[in-house]
Amino acid sequence: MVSAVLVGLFVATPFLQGARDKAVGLAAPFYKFADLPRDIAEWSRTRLISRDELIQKNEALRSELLVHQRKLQQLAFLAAENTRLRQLLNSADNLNHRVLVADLVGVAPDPNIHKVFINRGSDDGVYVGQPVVDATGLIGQVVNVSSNDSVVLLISDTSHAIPVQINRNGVRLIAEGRGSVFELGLRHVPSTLDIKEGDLLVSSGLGDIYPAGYPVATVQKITYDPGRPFAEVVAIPKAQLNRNRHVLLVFANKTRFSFGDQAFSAPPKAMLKKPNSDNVKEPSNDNP
Amino acid sequence: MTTHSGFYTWVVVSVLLALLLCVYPLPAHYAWFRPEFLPLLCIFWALYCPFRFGVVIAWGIGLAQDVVVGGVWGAHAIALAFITYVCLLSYQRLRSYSLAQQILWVFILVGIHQIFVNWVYGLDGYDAPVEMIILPTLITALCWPLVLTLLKPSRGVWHV
Repeated sequence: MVSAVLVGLFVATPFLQGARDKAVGLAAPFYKFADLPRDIAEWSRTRLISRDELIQKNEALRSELLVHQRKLQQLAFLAAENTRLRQLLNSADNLNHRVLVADLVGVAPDPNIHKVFINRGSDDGVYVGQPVVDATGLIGQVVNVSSNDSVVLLISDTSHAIPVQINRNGVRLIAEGRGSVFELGLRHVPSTLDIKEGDLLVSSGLGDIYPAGYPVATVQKITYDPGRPFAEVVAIPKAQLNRNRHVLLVFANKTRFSFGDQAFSAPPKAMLKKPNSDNVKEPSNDNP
Repeated sequence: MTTHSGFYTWVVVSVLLALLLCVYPLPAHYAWFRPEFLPLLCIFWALYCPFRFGVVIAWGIGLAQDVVVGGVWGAHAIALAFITYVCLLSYQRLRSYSLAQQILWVFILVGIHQIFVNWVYGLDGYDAPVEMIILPTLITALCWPLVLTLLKPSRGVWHV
């Protein structure tokens, strides 16, 4: 009976949100403790390493850096050009969002539930609905925040869907999770739509959760069935959803994300770039 | 009285260990093979200490699991409470069974547990494939002898 009420409250109402946020703090120590063997292994891998290997690694990193620097030179030019063009178009001029690096401390054990625990919380300025990315694409959004840890819902979870657009022609679609970290499904794709295998899908910025322009997935397979109203399209997520140790929390430059009007009191500790205190706000549903 | 508090300390310690095993990171391909240790614990305590272990404690343990695994609150709670209730009704019969028969019973009880959990998860929009119910259940049932050998000595220590 109590269970039935609890389940009802959990599924149908936001009543338990505050308690759920607090529970993240209770659950996280288990994940951290269970992760200790891997931490030790990683520690020993980085500390107990021979000099030759270090030199080799160093050289490899140097050459990689060189390649990236060359690309960066072009990027500076392209960014400037992009800004000029955007000014011509009179649109919002930056895609440069502040980011915060977070470590992944645990993965929800149930294979159906695609959630991960990260080691940043409201003390670092993390808020519910915050987008999370990795080096290659979008990972998901923050759904529960405690003071030091938070839970991220991955884009591959069955309860998740994200507005995307095809990078090639700008057609807007919805990509939904299918319960597998290797595929997303596209909803309501007309059979006549201009979509090809290999098309890049980027976040469209609709829905006010994800900022526009982050890569989400590439189209893998399109099946046209004349008996059905829509084509069946499967896409592979760009982000490496099942093999990340570090993720980036994006502080999007939109005040629309803030739920309350309280300004963030303590400046976040570990920002890569210092945030404007106007833009980072605490969600009001944190208060019990 | 000391034996009582000793027993409950033992329960708490075993539950914490089982929760750790619940969240121990496994590769994605092996995630289906994770045994459910908490139902095994609840079945064990209900069978061998039926006067001290009850539905309410099982419900609390289930809630702890719900909080830790980040699922729907109440899913594991209701499932564990239910199988503990069944065990408490029939512990005299189940205890006298042979090991093979006990494994079969554990399979059925854990299967009921999985059905309850998946039913509640279904309310939250997660559809579970059939292997999600059958495979972990089978592996959990095969872990029953392990739980027996690990936990049976504790009965002598705590006089339960």
